Amino acid sequence: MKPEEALERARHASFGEDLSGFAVEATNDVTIDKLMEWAIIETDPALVRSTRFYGAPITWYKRALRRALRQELGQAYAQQSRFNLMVVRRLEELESLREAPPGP
Amino acid sequence: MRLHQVLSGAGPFDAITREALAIRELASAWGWDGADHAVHIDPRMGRRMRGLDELSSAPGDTLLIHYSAHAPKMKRVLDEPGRKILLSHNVTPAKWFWDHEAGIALQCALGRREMHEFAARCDVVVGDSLFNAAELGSDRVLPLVLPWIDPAVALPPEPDGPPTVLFVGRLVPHKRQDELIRAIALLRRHRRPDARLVLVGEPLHESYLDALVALADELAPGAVTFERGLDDEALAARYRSAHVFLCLSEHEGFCVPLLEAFQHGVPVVARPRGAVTETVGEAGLLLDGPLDAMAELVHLAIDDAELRGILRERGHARLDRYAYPRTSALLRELLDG
Repeated sequence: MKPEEALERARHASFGEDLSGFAVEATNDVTIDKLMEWAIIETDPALVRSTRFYGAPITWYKRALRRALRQELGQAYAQQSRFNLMVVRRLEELESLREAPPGP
Repeated sequence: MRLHQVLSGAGPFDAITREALAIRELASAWGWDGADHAVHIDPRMGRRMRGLDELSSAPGDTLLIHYSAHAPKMKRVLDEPGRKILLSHNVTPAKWFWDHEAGIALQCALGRREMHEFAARCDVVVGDSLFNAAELGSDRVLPLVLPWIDPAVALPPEPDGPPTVLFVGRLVPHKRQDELIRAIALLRRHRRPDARLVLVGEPLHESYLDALVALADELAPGAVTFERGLDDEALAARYRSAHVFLCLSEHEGFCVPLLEAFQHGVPVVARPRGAVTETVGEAGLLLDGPLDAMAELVHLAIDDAELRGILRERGHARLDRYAYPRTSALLRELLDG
């Protein structure tokens, strides 16, 4: 089969299946809901790691340090999240004003 | 002559870093001095890459700036004395990262904004593909300088074993490993129940890898292998045992693994996105179609001996364009000005 024939044949393939599960989506337009989600600072402990050659003990140390500092870090996250959320709420109000029909 | 190279980030498995190291070897062979610098340096690089703060150029020096993302303080390179060449490797659109890694998304968003300023302030602007050069208003291309691209090496024999589909590249959203897993699931359910998929690459982070592993377990249990940190020999072995190289990336500035597939005689099936069209040319099966069509193409590329033969030959011939003697001569011409 020539490449052109293969391409033509493939264009007509249809298996009629819709496979669910994790799927990547490009985020082009950021909605208010998405901004709300992002406003909350929430880091993933699984991402604390070291890429050094004997990195396992360093990773362990970093995670222990993170646990030890969680009260202090939690305060910083909470304050930043509060600010972020309030900004998004104001933005939401402004958007609703813009979309509202003009008054009498 | 002194040549300084500047990168936003450097890591042991990164194609841009590997090119920079190859250029450094060439420069040393030409008797040129200088060093390579990066903003973010993976600890595994050791002293092969130095920090940007150690960069000190003089008038008459050449700075080769490999641009692929924003990095803090990288702009100061533009104030250094010497002739500046911007080599664009492209910056991935941030839209692929906002949901998965905010830091990288920021680097990409800023990078895409400021790359035009870099282009305006450099003496020469080139891209490693025309796709990359054109984004910055240039038509000058310096394909990646890769010493192992050798069209003189004979095609290896066809692989044995179960039908194996391969993709090599970081596990990141725009390379669409999620789509590759779906394609292999379709292939197994409708055409080749024994097909398997091998994904080689460093993950964006462990959570992203976990999501892909869970998807593979759900849709094609036992058929998908994830590998990382392979040395050159192990990677070559993966290519030699692959029947098809499938690329469903939504964005590529060049895509070196396509050339690796050609070098190892692996037929290429891909979506024509970014620079993929240009790198593959007529040597692979390019189709902008749904997953059903891509799975069918993979099936045909595995199953049809005539088609496989044509694709292997065309891929091998495509390497002439990227052969090391040619790219190193183009590099020398660029650096000599």
